[in-house]
Amino acid sequence: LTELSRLVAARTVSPVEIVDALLARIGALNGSLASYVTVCEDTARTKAATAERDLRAGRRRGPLDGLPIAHKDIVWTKGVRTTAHSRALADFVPTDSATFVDRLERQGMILLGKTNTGEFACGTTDLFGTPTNPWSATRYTGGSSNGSANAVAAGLAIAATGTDTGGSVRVPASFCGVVGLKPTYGRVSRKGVITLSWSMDHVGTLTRTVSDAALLLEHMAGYDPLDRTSSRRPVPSYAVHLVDPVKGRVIGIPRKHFYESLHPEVDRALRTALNHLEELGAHLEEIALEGSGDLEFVGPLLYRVEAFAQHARRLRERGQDYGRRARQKIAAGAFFSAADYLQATQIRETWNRNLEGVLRRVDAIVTPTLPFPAFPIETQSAGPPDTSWGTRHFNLSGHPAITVPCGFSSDGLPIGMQIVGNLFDEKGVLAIAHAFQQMTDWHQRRPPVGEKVGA
Amino acid sequence: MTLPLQWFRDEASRLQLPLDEEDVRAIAAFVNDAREALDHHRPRDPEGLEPSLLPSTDEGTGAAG
Repeated sequence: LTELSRLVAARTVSPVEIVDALLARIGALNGSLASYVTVCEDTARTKAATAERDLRAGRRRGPLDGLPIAHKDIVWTKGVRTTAHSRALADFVPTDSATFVDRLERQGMILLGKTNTGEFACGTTDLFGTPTNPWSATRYTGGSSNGSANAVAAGLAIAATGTDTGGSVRVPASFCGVVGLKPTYGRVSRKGVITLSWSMDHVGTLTRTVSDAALLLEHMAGYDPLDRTSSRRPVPSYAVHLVDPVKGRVIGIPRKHFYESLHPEVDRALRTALNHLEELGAHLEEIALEGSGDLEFVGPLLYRVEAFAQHARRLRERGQDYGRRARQKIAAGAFFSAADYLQATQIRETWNRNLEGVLRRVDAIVTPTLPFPAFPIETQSAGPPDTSWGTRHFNLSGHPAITVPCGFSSDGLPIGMQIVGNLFDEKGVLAIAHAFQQMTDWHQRRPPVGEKVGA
Repeated sequence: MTLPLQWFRDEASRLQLPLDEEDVRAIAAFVNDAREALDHHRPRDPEGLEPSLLPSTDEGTGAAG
């Protein structure tokens, strides 16, 4: 985005050329990658032509004008089918767009299409096909923003949005070797996002670079009177703060839980990454995050209860239109008592208090995003490992977290590093991540798909 | 306390949820595992515990947490 924005401003590349190139890649590769549920080919071409005319006439709305974006198919897009990958919504066409979609459109961004997702962000991808991992078709892509992640990784999108309730932006981003940002709870409006868990859902971004994530967030974030959980805090210029120095920042390293039982190649990649952060001038400090191992069931319990509260009526009326996994997860929420929900909430509060206490002493926390690289697809079908192992903690607490590629396994699979910051300190998180990307080239590697189709 | 499978069948019926036996068994396994994990955190003597559920704010954490 950042680079293309400069090229478009300089009239070196036109919006029409960008959209045409992406549509060509989508046409050639979407059949095997299943990145998109809906491609907005005609409207994208029309809007690109309009943007090009405006640019030629000297009218430019900002750095995102004329650049394409893909939205997860759980986000309302006016006039464009929004399925949440469910038979229950297969023909649903919203009459409005989500607030952040509107904001990006007002900046001139062009909707390229709707990306694949696990059903209602918690189920399977049986209806429209399963997004494949561009680094290895036999490996799991992660979920639930898997279409956004594999589209950005394979060059079928420049940037995409996703939602993250337990790691649904960061996990597929890590498995696919791209940048996944989950901002602070309340930073981006969720008006127009199909709810899974009202207390843990976050809107985030999937991009190749940290600077692209900063640019997008800056234009998506901000108070929305239609979402009472959105924050009134002013939105800083994240792009300006990207170059804030890392030198002197204290980074907490929580050895317990987050650095235990790691795949040896994840362990090696993280050690090297931490060395890089020290070379940038950060002070690494071992920290204890009490209760981090107690949350395995807390997030899944809370989101099931909240999802059932949201879906109860439709589930009763059209339960067979839900895929089995989504139906089981959402319906499970009906079988917990109010005391169970409150008990889980108390554990959550204790965790939040511990985390906030630690983040008063350090500027950021760094962990692996996942303890292993992407595993074989059949493992996921048989009984998946806990992919929210290192991410759900920050959905429970609402803290901003980003994953950046920090290495590859010996068989060519990406490994991600997660950076977590204080509430609303996206600029701090982005600055550390950006500095790391400036001294590494992991994000510049491309998966071996569609080399002959063009960029 | 593990809830018996029949309790799940009865609840599904009472709530008019269109679940088949495979659904009910999967849900029972998850719910019982989660409740067992919760049991480790339930207070033995509730008297004197600090009150929880702080007033919600619009800043940062979910209103429930």
